[in-house]
Amino acid sequence: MGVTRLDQFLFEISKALRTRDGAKLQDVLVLEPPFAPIYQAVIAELRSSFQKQELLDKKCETALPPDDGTSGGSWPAFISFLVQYLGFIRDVDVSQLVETHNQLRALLKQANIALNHASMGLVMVPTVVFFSQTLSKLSIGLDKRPDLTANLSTDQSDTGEHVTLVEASANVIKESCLRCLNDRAGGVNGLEANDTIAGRKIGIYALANIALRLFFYCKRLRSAEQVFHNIEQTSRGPSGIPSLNLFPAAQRVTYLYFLGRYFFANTHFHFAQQTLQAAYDHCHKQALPQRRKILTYLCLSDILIGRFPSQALLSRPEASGLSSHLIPLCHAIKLGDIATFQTLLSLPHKTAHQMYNWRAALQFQTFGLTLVQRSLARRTFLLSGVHPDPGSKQAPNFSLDDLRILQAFLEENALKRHAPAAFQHSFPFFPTSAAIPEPQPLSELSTNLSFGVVKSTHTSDNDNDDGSSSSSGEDDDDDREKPQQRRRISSRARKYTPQQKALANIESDVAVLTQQGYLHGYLNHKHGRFVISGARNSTKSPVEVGFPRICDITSRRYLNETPPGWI
Amino acid sequence: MASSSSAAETAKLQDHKPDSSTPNKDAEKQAITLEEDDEFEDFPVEDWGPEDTEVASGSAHLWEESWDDDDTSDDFSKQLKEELDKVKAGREK
Repeated sequence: MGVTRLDQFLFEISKALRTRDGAKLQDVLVLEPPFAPIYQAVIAELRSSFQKQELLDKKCETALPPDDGTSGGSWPAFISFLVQYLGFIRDVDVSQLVETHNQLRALLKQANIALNHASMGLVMVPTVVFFSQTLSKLSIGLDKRPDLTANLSTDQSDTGEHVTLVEASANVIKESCLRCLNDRAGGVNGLEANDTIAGRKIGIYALANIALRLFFYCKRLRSAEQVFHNIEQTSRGPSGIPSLNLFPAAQRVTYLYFLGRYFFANTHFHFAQQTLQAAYDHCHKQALPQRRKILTYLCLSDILIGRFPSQALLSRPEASGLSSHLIPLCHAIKLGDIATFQTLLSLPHKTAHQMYNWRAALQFQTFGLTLVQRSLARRTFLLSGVHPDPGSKQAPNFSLDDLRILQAFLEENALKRHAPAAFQHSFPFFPTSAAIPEPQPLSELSTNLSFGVVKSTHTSDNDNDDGSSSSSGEDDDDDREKPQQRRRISSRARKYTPQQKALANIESDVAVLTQQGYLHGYLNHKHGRFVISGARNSTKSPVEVGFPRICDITSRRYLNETPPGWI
Repeated sequence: MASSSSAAETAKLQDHKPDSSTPNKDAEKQAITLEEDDEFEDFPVEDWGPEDTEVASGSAHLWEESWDDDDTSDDFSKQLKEELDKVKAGREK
């Protein structure tokens, strides 16, 4: 019998192993139909002569001599992988997408075992990346076909948790990434003597990015976190990992994008801004779809740390359409216009729809609203605050009741624009003072509300005291431990008007803003005012002292901190 | 895994360049269509240098850090001032 197409195929594999040519190996191991004529001949031969597993095992073992440690060769896990690969192309029926997906995932698992070989595993890296890319595309394609996947039984993770088809694929790819991460080749930080990336570590970010894409697709941020965590931890280990700067630009930008998205989702906006800015800066100037994705989340992160996108930035081609959503939000934050801000973030407003689609609505409804509240406090000071003459001993201040009046006015305006039920549904965390419910027993009141009803004579005129803790711990203990007293306080609570309760909420909000550094000064509970401290000895104006720039506050807070996961 | 920046690769990227003759049409379409949180596409090329990034071509004023608005003569501030005056006048009666 002469040389068959299968023999030729195995010879090419053997040659790639001997020369340790991973790219060549990946090139030979095609996956997706339509297959070239030579592969069709191989498949025909497999179907006619190699239906039995043992025959295929023997054929591969004979054709691929083992690695002797000097010249490259096969190893048992590679033979198992190759036999499974040949079985895959022999049996695959691409009209059966679910079955094809399962076979491919099993094949990648086997490839991961072959990848583990200490000296020859490196040659598998391009193949594992290629198979992972194909599995990723197939998984997402299948996920968009509920008609095919609706009746599938879900897989279980190691912890017994049920996982989706996409997540199960991502977990296998994450395993590939871990095997590259854990390679101990090379010296310090996983580098060769000539400062190139050593061994399988070259596959870290290519594989991490494929897994991250799937984890973000199926909204499994906790699993994505494990990828970042593993990279961070390995970088601190004895072998370390090479700097991200040494990897190709496409891998760098993609990884930083996902890292930024992760920080944004977890409300670490400063870290999100840093990583997304780097991704945007390193992105190819003609890669518009990618630049748009990065810029969108960069703008969202920047806004929440007090940096608004300029008209010049929003005029760029990749920013097309962003300004119609972002400029009104920024304008509302600037003015302290709670009504407009809440309207923009309430369905069915188109900006609200867009923010939900970007998974940014919650971040803006909470952290964004804090910025609006700070601007409204600032405007209250400008409109009705006390601005003492230079040289006066009096400190600049403004009335908390004025702030309450303005907030209630704006919230009423917002309510007028929406059905009350829909509005309350959209903002469950911020009940409006304009819609204060009837008095309830103290035990059912919010923490903020209890601030106003406890008996307190605490007043702070001390510059060093932010005055935010006017409820005494003694009252809290009484409330917890003595039901009779609780009833007595509860009856007192009923005597307070909605306005007084709203004022207590305002005090609480201002205390939070002060604690976060957005306001500089202290609450004077007795006189119901916020006092700006330090203005007399400053060269800045009272409004600049009392309301520092948001971006300066966040920059100071994160000084000398680098985003974890960015090596 | 190999990195190169051949003319062919640049040509691939240029496929994504918007047609300068019809930018407004595309922009309008994008503006009215809600953008999904879809996947981050693969780059058509694997590697490129600083000369292919936007940073290399200069730095315009891209971010506003001092955006606080001290103007109290705008309509919004006037509305707020009127509300304050109205509530305070009501109390004095």
